[in-house]
Amino acid sequence: MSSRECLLAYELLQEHYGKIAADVASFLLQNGWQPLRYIALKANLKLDQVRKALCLLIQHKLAKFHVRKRKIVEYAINIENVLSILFHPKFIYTVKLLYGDAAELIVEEALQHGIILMSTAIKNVADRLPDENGSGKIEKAFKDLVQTHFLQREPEVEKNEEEEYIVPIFTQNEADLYRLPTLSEESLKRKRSDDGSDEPKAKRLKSEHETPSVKDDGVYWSVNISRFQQYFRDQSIVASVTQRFGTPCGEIVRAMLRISEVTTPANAQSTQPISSAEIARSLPQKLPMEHVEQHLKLLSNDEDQIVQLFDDSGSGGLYVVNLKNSALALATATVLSYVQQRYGSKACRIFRLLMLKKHLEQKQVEEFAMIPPKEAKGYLYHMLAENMVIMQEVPRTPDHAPARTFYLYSVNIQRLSRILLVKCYKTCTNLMTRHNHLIKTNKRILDKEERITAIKVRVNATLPDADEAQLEEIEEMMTSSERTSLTKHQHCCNKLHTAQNQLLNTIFVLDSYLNALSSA
Amino acid sequence: KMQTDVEVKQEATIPLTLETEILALCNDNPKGISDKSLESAVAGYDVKQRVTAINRLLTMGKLELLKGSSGLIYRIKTPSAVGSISGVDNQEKLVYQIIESAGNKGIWTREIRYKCNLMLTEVNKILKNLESKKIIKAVKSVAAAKRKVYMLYNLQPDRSVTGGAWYSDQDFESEFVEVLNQQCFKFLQQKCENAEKETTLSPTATNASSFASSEEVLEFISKLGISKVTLSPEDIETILNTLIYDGKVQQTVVPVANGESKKLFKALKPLIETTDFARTPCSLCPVFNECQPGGEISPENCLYMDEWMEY
Repeated sequence: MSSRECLLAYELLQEHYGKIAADVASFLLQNGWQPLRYIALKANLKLDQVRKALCLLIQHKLAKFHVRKRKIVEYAINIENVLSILFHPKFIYTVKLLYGDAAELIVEEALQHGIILMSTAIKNVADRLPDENGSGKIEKAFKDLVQTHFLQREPEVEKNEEEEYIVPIFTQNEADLYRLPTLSEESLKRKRSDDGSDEPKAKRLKSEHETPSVKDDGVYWSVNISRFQQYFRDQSIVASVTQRFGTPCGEIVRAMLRISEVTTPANAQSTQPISSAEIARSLPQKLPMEHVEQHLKLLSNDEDQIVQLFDDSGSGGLYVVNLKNSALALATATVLSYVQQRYGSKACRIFRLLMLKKHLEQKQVEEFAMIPPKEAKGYLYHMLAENMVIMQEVPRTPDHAPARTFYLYSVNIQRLSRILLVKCYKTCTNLMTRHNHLIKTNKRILDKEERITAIKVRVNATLPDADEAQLEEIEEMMTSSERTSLTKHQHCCNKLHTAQNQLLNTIFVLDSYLNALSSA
Repeated sequence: KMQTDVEVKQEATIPLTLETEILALCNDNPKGISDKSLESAVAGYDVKQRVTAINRLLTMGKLELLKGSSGLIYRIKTPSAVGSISGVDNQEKLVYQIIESAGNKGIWTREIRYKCNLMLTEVNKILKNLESKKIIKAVKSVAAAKRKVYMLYNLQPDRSVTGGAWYSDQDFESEFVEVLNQQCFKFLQQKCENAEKETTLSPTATNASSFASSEEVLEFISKLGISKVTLSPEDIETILNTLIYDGKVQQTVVPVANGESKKLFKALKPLIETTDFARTPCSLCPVFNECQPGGEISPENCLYMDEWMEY
């Protein structure tokens, strides 16, 4: 974890959960596990504020707690979950594409609440989707999401009569993770009828509430972040295979990933072995069997080894998608693309040359890459100065005299992925800062626009027969120069948002590569 | 040497016959004759006489002494141009021999001076003299821009001196290399596209017909007529290698008849388009590391971002 990540986490928390939560989180990020009172003391906040902030963070699975020496409760931040706030819009959009509007709203609710009861989620969505009568459709969407593991069940509080524990103990069966409770029509109705009795979720852990026991009481659901990441990963693998080998190969890999989608654990090295016949069967557009086999053979001969031959016994053989190799290939491609963009294509050639040949002297670089010595020197030193390449001295004599020393250049993709990821985080923070700054500078115009919209709405509501002239008059409260600066502001905001969303792809690729490394 | 010369004068008759005998022997063996076989061939003379005779022949420049794999080898010296040139003194002859021995790799002034033990000014004068007579020539080496090497006038400089096809005068023709790089890639790309257009082919066949050998690429390049010098398949392979380092081409090795193998090349599509990170102004920012919210350089007052957002 770098200070860049902390800064980004702070920005994100401040934007979504307010300053106090952000302050508490930032203190915990800097100091690790800390008890409640100490946080309040050191972060200069009221005890009650800290308590509320921690409740909020725990509710959203952004913070965790444990007991030290059987009596002190300590808290810490889940930095991965905090940074995944960045991906929330992407989660919602993905679900919308896959399962439609109802599912979109369910995920939105789940993200908003952190953890949510199935009945509450369905009720809230039904309120927001008035045209879709009956909660059946929504319930089905919910079930779909659970079955495809996009939602997962939260561990339940273990009922413990002895007063031995000062924090609730959670238990969960592996098998229960995606088991749905049976919701009776009745319980849904009741939920809908008593609107106000939504229990304060932030205090769920401590409160002994007495709401009528519905069947799904205590069964909370949350968004399964790693499942979404897995989905994005599969998407990016398919996209890159399609890019390099064409659509048929892309479809084959997509089919392979889909077959093992739910059965492959998130941190597995590769998918389960799949026979070519099974792949051919599950392709959306039928290909001749021998073509599928040939494509698979070609894919497995590629040097990136995204698809591998698992076992060639039987007819056609068994193939796997190697997820670790894919992550490496994608991260490498990202790093190379960055080098190409920042230092030019010749520098990129040198970079890849170093990747292929591991260690080279400057002279060898010039010869292999066929770049004039002066230019090659420039590229190498530029990249060396910005830590893109590494230089290793190998002295021939103990005195390290430059004339009798080899200077070997090399590159390290893992290190660069890390550097680049941190750069991405910083860029993200920069974009957010700029966005906030824009809003601050244009505050007056934005406020005015909001006021005018409010007036318009009111006029439309109260005077349905208001004539054109009156509406025009309201419009003219905004001068033309204000209007242009408003459109400009919106253009800039859009630009910043798009860039931020695009940045997520890079962050995702690099992050999943580094995760794959650490999990192996 | 002086001592033996004196001795030679004293007993002139025996050595002379010996000398002619040795010369005849060497003439029979143009590749050279080893010390041992010489000894057995002229067994009638003692060691001292033999040594005297050989020394004399060496100083006269009729024989040369080489170091072979199995010891010393005597070889008849080809009558060199130096003999036919009038007005060449001993020092010039010495320098000439040093330059001659360097072959088409050439030799540097300092090396010459080191080998002949003459003064720098003298060496320079001799070199100038020989150059003006068109006996030797100076060639600029690509290895070190300021270093001139000398070789015989009629020799074609070695590749290591001229740098091969990629150099004209000792300048590296980077533009030429770039053009070739692009054209080779274009050819391979075209080949790939043609293969993909043939929809009747099976995937394996499509893949196989996208590959091209370096000879095919060379043929295409020579037909284009962009190269003034004749290129060899090896030259093209170095160019194709740069394409591999560019990540645009992949290489495979296939076995051909009689146990040999052949390299084949194919255009490669990138795994990803440009990374999305590169779309932000920060990714290319020269002062990225100095940038800090609220600082002198900050995202709030960033000019690069201003320009980028205008766009």
